[in-house]
Amino acid sequence: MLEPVNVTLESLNLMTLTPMLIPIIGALLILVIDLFKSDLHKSLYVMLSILFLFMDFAVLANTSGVVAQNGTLMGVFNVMHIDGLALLSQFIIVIASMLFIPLALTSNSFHEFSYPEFFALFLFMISGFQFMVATDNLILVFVGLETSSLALYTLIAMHNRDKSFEAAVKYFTMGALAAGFYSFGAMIFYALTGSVEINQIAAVLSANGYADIAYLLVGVVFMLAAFGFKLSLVPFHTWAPDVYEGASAPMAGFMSIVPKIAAFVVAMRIFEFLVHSGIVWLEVILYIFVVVTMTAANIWALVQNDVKRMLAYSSISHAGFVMAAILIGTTQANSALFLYWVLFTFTNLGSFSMLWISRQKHIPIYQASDHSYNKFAGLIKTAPVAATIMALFMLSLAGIPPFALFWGKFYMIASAVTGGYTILALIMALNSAIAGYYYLKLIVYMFMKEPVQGADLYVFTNNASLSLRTIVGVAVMGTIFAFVAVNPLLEFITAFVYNSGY
Amino acid sequence: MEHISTANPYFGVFVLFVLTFGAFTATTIIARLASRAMAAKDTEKIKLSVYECGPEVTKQPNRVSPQFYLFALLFLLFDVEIVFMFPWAVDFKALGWFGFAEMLMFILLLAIGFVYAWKKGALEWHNIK
Repeated sequence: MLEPVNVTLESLNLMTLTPMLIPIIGALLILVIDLFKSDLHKSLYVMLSILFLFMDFAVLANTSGVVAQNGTLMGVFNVMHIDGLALLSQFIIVIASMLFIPLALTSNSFHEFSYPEFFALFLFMISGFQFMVATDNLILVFVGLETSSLALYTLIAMHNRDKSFEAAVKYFTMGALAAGFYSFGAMIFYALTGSVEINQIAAVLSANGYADIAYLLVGVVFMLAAFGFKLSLVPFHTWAPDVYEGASAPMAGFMSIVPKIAAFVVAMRIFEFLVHSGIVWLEVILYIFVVVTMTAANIWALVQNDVKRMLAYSSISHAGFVMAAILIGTTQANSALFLYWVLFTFTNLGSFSMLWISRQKHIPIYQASDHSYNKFAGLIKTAPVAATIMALFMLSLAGIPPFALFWGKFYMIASAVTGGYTILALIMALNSAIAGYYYLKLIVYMFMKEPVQGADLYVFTNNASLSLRTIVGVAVMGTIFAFVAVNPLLEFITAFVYNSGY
Repeated sequence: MEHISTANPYFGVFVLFVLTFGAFTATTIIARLASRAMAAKDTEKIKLSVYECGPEVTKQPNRVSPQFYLFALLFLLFDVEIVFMFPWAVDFKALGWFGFAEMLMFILLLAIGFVYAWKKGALEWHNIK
């Protein structure tokens, strides 16, 4: 006879679980509402999603107060692990999602937003990402990864064009492969240390002095491949441009931000103790990853003919840039990672929203693809405001001061120099210069070329509703006035990162 | 010593595992031998000649309805539910109120899925909205 299990509510510490439960409840509510009253307008579901995300945000803010006072919170049999990293990344995830979901309220109607399932899946996906970052347990990371990825594949496929199906199937295949790699790597770590908790794994490995180095390296290789796929680092990036092209612009922008920050946090938890364990091999391979991802993606972006594909390669390059923080591994670098990602969120939100506003139902003959450079030719004459805003985002992505991403790049390179990686800092600076070329190419098209004869002049406003304009306005504000917010933001981030010991 | 290894609660599973491997191999070998022995050997010239492509493709006479996949998925969903409920029922007293609440939540989530599938017409043949 087994001993009766006594579990008290206090020991569960349900506070750690509430931020994830709120979007799940929201998603279930949306599904149930649809069952009993169908054909409701999508704006109701958008508002419900924002409402639940806002509640999520409020609970997170409350939890962050507790964490700032009492340190790391553990809960639900010590599976949930709420530290500063978990909170910061959840803030980014929830805020980015709140900014992306109103993009569903376009003036043209799109197929996918007429389904309430779209919004339910969106909320399920967010809870998946939150689970992924708020735990120390490799199994829960896997469950969160799968929950969010499966929802994301479906959301991409719901755009209902041939290219979207292609994108979803490609992403699914690659994601399945990555999940396989991840679980195999986790299995090896478990076999080596007898634990699935990253803290425990680190403790056991350092206690026995990394004795089983061969097995450990096999596990690390599998983990690297898995996170390479998720973060689209260069040998594993091949899915990214096609998926970005096939997905709708808001989904593509979302994919360039939220899944990556979740994967960055998990990678930070797993790799940082390994990089500084004196296993030179991992440091070298991460170095190569970072340099190759930045440089190769930048060079590929130079030759793209489609703005969305160019932005896809640019976000691969940005991911490589930020990956440097995990290699450097100081508190300063890790804080710079979060700062960079907050600023990148606003800029990329803006540029993908601008693409979404100019989304056409039918592609005219003079355009090779949905968002070819030709479409933006002479935009300053036909739609000066749109051209100026787009140029602003491009300048920010290129890292021109005083716009948002300049500060991100600035702190990242500064942390590389203080961390002792001078050559890496030099490569990062050079890459920013290369990247300037393809961002400026779009500006040249918009400001110096003549519009294509017979072009549809209304294409740049035809999708713009009030909510889309508002989101673009928020992104513009975030991009221009970043210099005011950078210092307090960095202090806030550094306090959290330092408290959680990274 | 051997008493300890057989007393392990997972020993039965291990035996099943070994037997399954044996059974799988045996089935494959038997199937191969049987087909070799019993198949009608037709040594006609045309049959042995090299296959050349280009013939008219015949349409598949009976297409498999996607409803089968849907039913299989729903079956799997509730089958897994039962798999979780058996060990829960066995250890019901030990798990106490905590286990009861967990199981209620689990069933509630699945029930919402069930109502969803029902209302969307997934349980009716050829009537998906």
